[in-house]
Amino acid sequence: MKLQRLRIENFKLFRAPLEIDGFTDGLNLFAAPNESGKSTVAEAIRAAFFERHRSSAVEHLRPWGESSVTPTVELDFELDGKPCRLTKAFLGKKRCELVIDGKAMDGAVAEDHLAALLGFRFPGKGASTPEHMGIPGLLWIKQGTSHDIAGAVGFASDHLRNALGESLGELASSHGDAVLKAVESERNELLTPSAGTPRGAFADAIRLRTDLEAELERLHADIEAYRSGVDRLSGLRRDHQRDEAARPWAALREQLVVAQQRLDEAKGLNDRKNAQDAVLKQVAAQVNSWRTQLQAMEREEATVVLRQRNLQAVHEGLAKALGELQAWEPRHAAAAQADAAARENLRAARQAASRIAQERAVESLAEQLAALVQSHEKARSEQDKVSRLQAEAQALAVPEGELKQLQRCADALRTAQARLDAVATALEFELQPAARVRVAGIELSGSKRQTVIARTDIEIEGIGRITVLPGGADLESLAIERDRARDEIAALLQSLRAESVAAVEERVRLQALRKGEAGAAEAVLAALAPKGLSALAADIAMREARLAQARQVLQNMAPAPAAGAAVPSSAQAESEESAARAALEAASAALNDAKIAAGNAREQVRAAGDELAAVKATLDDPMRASRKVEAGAALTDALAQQSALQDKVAELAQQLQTVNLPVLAQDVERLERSARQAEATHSQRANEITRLEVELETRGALGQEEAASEKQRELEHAARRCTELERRAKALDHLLKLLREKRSALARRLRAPLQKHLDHYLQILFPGAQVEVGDDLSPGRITRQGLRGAQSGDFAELSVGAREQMGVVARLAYADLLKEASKPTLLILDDALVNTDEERLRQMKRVLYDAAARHQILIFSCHPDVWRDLGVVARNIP
Amino acid sequence: MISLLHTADWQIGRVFSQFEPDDAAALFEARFKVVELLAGIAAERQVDAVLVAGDVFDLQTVSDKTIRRMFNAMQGFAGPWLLIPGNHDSALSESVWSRAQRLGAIAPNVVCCLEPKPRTVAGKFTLLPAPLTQRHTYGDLTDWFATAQGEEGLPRIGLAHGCVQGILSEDIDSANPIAAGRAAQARLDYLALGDWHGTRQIDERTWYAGTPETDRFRANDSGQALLVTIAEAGAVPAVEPIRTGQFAWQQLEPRLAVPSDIDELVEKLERVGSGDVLQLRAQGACDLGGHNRLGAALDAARARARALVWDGEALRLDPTEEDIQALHADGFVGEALQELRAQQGDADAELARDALLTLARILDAQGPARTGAGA
Repeated sequence: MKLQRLRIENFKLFRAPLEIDGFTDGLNLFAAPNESGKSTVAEAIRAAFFERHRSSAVEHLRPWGESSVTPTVELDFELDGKPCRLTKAFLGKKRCELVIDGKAMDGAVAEDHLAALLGFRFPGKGASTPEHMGIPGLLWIKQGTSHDIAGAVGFASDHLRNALGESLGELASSHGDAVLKAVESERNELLTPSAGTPRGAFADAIRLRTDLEAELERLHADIEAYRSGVDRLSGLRRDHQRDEAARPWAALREQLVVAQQRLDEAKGLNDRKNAQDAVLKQVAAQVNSWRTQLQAMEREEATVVLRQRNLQAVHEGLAKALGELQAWEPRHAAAAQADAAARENLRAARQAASRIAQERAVESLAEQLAALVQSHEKARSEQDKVSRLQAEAQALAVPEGELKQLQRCADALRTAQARLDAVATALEFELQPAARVRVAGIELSGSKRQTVIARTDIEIEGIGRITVLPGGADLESLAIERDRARDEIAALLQSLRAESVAAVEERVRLQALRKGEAGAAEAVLAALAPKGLSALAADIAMREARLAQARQVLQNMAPAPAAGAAVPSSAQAESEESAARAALEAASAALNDAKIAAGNAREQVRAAGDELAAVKATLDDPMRASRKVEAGAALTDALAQQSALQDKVAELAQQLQTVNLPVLAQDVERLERSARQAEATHSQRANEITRLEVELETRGALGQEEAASEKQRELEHAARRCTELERRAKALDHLLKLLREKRSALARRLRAPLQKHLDHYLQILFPGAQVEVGDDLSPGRITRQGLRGAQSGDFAELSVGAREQMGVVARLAYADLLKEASKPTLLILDDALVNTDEERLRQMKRVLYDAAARHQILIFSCHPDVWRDLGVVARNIP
Repeated sequence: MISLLHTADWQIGRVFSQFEPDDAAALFEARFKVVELLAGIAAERQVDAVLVAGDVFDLQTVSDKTIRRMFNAMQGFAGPWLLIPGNHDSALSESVWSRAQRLGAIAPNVVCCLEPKPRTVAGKFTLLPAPLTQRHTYGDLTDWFATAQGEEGLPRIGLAHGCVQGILSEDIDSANPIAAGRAAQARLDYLALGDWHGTRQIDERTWYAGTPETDRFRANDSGQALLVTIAEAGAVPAVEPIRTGQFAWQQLEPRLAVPSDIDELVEKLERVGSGDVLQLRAQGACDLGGHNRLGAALDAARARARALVWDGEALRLDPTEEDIQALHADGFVGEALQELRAQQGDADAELARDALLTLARILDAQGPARTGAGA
């Protein structure tokens, strides 16, 4: 389809007619500013085709304010090579005329004919909406809708599918899909959609089978237990019968009796032996006692001799002791005497020594006192000196400030004088000896220099008078200053009663000197009397008292011994005394010992004498002899008895050894226990049998094997069902996968032409990219080569700019497809790429240029400069 | 002259787990029914005794109800019933016999010979029973027959349960052995045996009666009892097999290759009746049409037969072009179908076949809707 001429009148802002002609076959670029009517032109084209001339919903097409005019659109175009003209007038004088290749049609017939040709339809009533707009709705992009493509594709999909050669309902609404859905729903009854795990009846069947398996296992376990119970019962019954017949405990009891007898016998033997042992012991004891008695008697006889000897010995001992005692007594007396003498000596020595000490003390005290007195004197003189010096210093004192002032004045005077001299006029005289000169009344001679500061008369005898009038204003003031200073000095000196400054200075110096001397004297004083004179005096007084005291003591002491008398030193006397003491002690001790020894010896003698007497008495007893004889006889008897008994006991012991009593006792115990155990086992077994019988009866009555068989049957049935469902599920799953696979392959094949067209444009816009065509034929998943490798995303995930571009590209592909199916393909892009950047726009221009070779494309834009390199001149809306 | 009804291996209480619950229940019931039938035959033929040679019960711990029902079923014949325990119901210290005793279910005319002792039955013959009293028996329990003395002049009848050596088993270590030629060696007039489930003659005096109601798929001539007539002591017994079984157990393995094979099988299935217990294991290949026909025939047969077990796992599906046309499977569905056909030659043929059948089923179900929509 190729638009050639357009004329609109009374249409929105075009009150006056607007005519555009000279449309070219390929690209037609209309660049005009906003509000210039370019969208209105697009709208006019849309209205001319989409709205019925009789529609009353097109009020908005009238120019604003005009309520009675008739919006008219007239279009000259070529369709399938045939020239056509469409004239449509709305609202006022409604009209529709269509002339195709000379043949005229009008009204609704014309409208419907056009709709069929172009691939759109009309609504029942009201304004046209996108769902009616079909192919033109897809290819004529309204402002701001290029990125929104899925809807438009949907409304044109029938036409597109037709172009693809898909028979209606082949893929989307075909019975193939019904089969697929049926398979899917059947599969999803048995398996979960995502993971394919059993669900529904399948899951139930598996659960049932598992449950039955578990139950059957339990039953089998019970049955096994029952069976082993039965076997055990057989065993027990067998054992019981055997024992019932054999009666092993009876034999054991017999053996027990025999063993018991033997034990009793052995026990008897043992008792007898024990008895004999006891008797033997008694007899042995008797033997011992008789023997002892005899021995004692003999010992007595031996004793007498001993005792006599003893007595003699102790007598001798006594004699010795007495001798010693006698020796020690004189010695002791001597020692005592020596000791007394030594003590006396010591006392004398000590006395002498103390006297000497006291004398010495008195001497020293006197010395000390003398020294102190001397110090005191000195201190006192020093004290006077200090006072004197201090007074002098005080007299010489010159207040600090005054000295300074004096000095200052002296300085000032000097300064003033110097300045004055400097400023003053100097007069130098070199006088001859005979000259008589008087300066200010004072005679001068010789050489001299003098300064004058005031009017000064120089009288030269014989000559006259020269008056010098020194100049300089300052002179006056300087002179005054000097005078002042001089006066001040004089005043100060007077106040100080000094002759001169030097004198004052001398005074100051002397004062310092005196002060120093005073200080020195003070120091000496301090050395002599640290605590002061009074303290010193007090000290002296005290010492005097002490001295007097000491003298007194000395006087009271004993007089000195006569000279020449040998006075031993006290130390020597002491040692002598202590030696004497020690000797005395020793002597005392020895004497004591000797006394004691003597006493003891006496005692011993006495005792020995007594003993001897006693023994003698015993031996003299008449009865003794007969007793001895008696004892001898008894001993002999007892010995005989003893040997007899020993023989008997030995015999019995031997007998016992052969018998081995402990083992016999063990035998009895063992046999007793065995018999008891055998009996117990038998009765226990009987109980066990009874219990087991009862248990098995109860168990048997449960009919478990039959139940197990029944359960087995159920299990097999459930297993069969599981297998069946599993096979069914697997088959459905497999079938579903296969059907889906085949379907996708078919879809891909069917859409190949569209894919080809899309790829063609896509390579220009995004080299290396791929796009999938969705089931609804709109662009789906796009895979592009980015900086970081292939990126894949859904169409909806692209940016608005990219979707815009893709929207245009897709529409071009659809146009190519429709063209191949001989459908009319006019494309209108009304500000379709506003979100596209410069780089992409470059690619889009290439795309559009390429597409324009096949289709007429109208581009409306408000940015003419952007489209400068499109290869076509931009036109304005007049 | 004495006449005896010889039967064995009643296996009362056996549960048939490979069948559906209702079929299994019916077969469980059938075992009681046949006892009633035997009682009826015994009464009708006025036999002197009924000999039951072991495996009366299938399990030791059958329910009390089962025990009672069995003994109740024997009420139809008031003459002596002589039972011995077999290996399934051996007379252990505690066994189904001691339980039956305690329940008081055993009628006075029913004698459970639990000890290997000869007894004179109704004064007409001497019975030498060889009961199994252990869980596993490895010795010949009929050994003592030769030395057992019976009443003078009365026929000697042996009753045993086991495996005749050299004839039924080559393995000398098998359980419950019975020496071949025992009848002659022990001077028996007749030796009534149990354990082998089919009716089988060993020698002129030794027979296995087999189970009176078939209980497994092995074709072995079961479902009978033996009527034994002995003119006098020493005479050769006359043995007459009597049919007692209600159900015929059959095992078929049809090979399907061409459509006519299916037709044949369908025909066979149409003839299946209420007395049939059938196991079918098909092999080979068939097309979808054939499979559908087969499926329909099986469903019908299943309803008629006492029980029917079908195993079609080894059956390959080869849909023909007509099949596919009939399914109206075109487009991607058709492609899927072709691929499934091809996959049947791969490792997971069974999965492919199942998927193919599923697809055929769904397409079939949708068929009417599709043809209406316009292809």
